[in-house]
Amino acid sequence: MSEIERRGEQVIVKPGQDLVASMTPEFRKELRVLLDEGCRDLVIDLVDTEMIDSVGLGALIAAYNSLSKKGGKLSVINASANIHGLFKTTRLDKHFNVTNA
Amino acid sequence: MIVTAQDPHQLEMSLDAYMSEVDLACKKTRELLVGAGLEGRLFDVILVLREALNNAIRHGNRCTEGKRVSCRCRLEGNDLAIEIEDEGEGFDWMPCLDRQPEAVSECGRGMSIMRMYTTSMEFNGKGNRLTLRMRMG
Repeated sequence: MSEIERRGEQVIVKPGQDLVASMTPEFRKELRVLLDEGCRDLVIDLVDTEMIDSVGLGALIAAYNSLSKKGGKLSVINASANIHGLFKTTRLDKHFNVTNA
Repeated sequence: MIVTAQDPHQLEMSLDAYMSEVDLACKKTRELLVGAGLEGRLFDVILVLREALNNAIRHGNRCTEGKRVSCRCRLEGNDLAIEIEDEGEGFDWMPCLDRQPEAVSECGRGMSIMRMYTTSMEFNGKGNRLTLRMRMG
């Protein structure tokens, strides 16, 4: 279960685990709840995440798409060099802000 | 997940129809690479392996209980060969090889990720066996 911190309008979600196919259904549900509550500024903190696969990326993109429709934004912080590389390779860094660990 | 064969250069596994099996197979493959002193591309290998196994279980075998996926990782000099075979009906893979996902599509990235992180990617005619090669050195 992700650690969730609220700083004013901003919600910081720290999954604390890899975002891969076996783990992603629960993570998707957590994001869905936050979006349904009206979150518009979502930050995903990947400090303890070593791996993201295409299923995990799909969960982030789903949140990004929902936020975009409402004028909100999604950022990724503390991405490892490898994960940052994956965001670049898939060009997802063009759509949400990704910063390194 | 069952390890069916293992030596310092090769690992063969058989996976059941659950996504958690992918995590176990990745853990064993990580051990193979670390044991061979090949940590340099660990992230890339595990990412590619995850994508291939996710597809085999989810799309190939359609998560059908009783259907298995076989996975063989073999170190050949500077290369790693990964062979994944499922018990599904296969698919028309040719049009998918060069397909790019929509910029913010939620799915359809697995194949392009595998293509970008490997030196070669080959399907058998039926489309239920995939061979991936990666340069490790």
